[in-house]
Amino acid sequence: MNVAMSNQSTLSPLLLVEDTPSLQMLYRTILRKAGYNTICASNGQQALAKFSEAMPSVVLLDLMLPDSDGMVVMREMLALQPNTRIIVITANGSINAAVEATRAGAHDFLVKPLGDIRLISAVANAHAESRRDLPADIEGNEHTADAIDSTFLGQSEVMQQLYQKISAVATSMAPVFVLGESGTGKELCARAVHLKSARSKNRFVTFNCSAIPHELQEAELFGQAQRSNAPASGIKPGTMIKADAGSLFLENLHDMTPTVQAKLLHFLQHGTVAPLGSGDQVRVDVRIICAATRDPAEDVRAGKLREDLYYRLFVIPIHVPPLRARGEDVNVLARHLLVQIAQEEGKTFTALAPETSIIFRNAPWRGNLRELVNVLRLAVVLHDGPVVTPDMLPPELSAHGKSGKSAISDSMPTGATPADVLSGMTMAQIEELVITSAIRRNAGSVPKAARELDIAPSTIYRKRDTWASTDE
Amino acid sequence: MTSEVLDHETLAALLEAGGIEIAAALAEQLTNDFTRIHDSADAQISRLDLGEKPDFKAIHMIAHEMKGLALTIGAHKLADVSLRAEVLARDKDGEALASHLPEFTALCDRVRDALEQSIESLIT
Repeated sequence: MNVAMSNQSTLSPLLLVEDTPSLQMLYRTILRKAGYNTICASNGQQALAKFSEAMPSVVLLDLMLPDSDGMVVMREMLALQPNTRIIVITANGSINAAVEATRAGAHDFLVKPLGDIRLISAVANAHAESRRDLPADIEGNEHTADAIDSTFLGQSEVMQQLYQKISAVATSMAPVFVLGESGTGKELCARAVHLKSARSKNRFVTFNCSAIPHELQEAELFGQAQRSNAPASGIKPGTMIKADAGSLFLENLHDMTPTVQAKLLHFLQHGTVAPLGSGDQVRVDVRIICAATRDPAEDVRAGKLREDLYYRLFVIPIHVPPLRARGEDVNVLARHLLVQIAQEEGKTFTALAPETSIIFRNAPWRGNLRELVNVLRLAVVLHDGPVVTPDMLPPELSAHGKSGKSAISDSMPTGATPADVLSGMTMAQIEELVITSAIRRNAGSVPKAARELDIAPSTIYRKRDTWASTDE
Repeated sequence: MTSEVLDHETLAALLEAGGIEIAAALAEQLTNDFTRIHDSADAQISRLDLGEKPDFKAIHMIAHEMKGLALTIGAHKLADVSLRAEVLARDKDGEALASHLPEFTALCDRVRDALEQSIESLIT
């Protein structure tokens, strides 16, 4: 499963306009394998005819066509349907044309040779964007499975594995525990679990224990009996009741008071909550999804989290990978965010310079997505577009374009060896890390990763099955 | 295996990305596209040999298409030579094109041969 492309069959077809038959065949196959219904055209006239007929929301358009200028074709398509996401395809040496196309309304551009990951990412992002245009009454509900935040999308192996896990756990009622560094998108992950579940039409409510004073936590989470002169209902509903039939996202459990932890445990055992000051038990149907930046077992050892509550909540762990482990996703996300931020700031930025992409790929991104957003906003606010060049980046970040060091060596303390970075991990975890990294380095190819590691591809497939079943 | 004019690994990755089920069809189509573009370029050379005015627009399209194809299959030298032909056609430099196009078609031939060999080793 791929969250980025879930329910592709319900999407309008994608129009691929490419005049070279072998390239058309290649792109169409890659897109079909990714689940996209693709219609093809080999020239401008065909493209416009098929566009008028199918009205696709996403078009992949080669700018140089045998019978017409791709720019003219693009303008005609946008005149017919202004919110069409057009991704222009160009070859090396035609970058200026691509930038001009972006200014004229193209959503994105791809430079030949097209990698399959980049191709699918661009199409997935374009589809995600186009679905945002759909009004709620067409979508049925704005919180459907496809309404996943596009900053949570990615084509890297680690993100594909994450999507598979989200899909697998979504149908269960079992509590989910999302783990990940700050800024990795744990809430987006939790929201994805909710949106993929049968509860998606109901509420997703968040409760951050660290943001609510201890003395208010119980009333906020479980509700409170009103004073005697209050309305007849007598209960001010808490977050738990507001989330009834939906999902409750709990953050920073280590900051939850012992009293509230005991009441939460009661809910997990009996399915009822007692508002503060009321003797009544109210039955609620809520799925709990927790998140933390560190292993909750540490909080148990530190006496900040009840052990029995830990075992009730830590049923299905999901690890959200840091940005530095997501490979080329960082540049896909950066381009997507850049356009958004530029629009907000009234600037013309549309692209990253190739050197900037290298820096982004190598940077450790300790602040993850938040840091990426900050870096882009700084560049946009202080400079003029359309391209983000390395001199627009903070110096400490620019250095990552020159060293060629990997993210793992960047994050190592002085004097540490690579093996020290693995400290605290089990052999099984190290094996999983090494294999998934090799797959990522080889652009998702298991046979190539197997060659690199000198093991049989079947060994990797077997191990992946084991990880998936263990995770579930 | 990497020949002087074609990166075998790029081609292997391409066929893998397309999937084994279409590898043979894709390989055949790549060869056909090479032959077609090569023949179109040959026709333009004949035209120049006969002293006719160059069809710059057609040459530009031929060179551009070959550039995209060459980049995709890992024929980087051919991509550079194609880009040169594209620029000369855009600049309407008939004299330079007359001497450059034979180099273009000769390299097309070499890449096509390397392509056929690579495909054979990958598919069989």
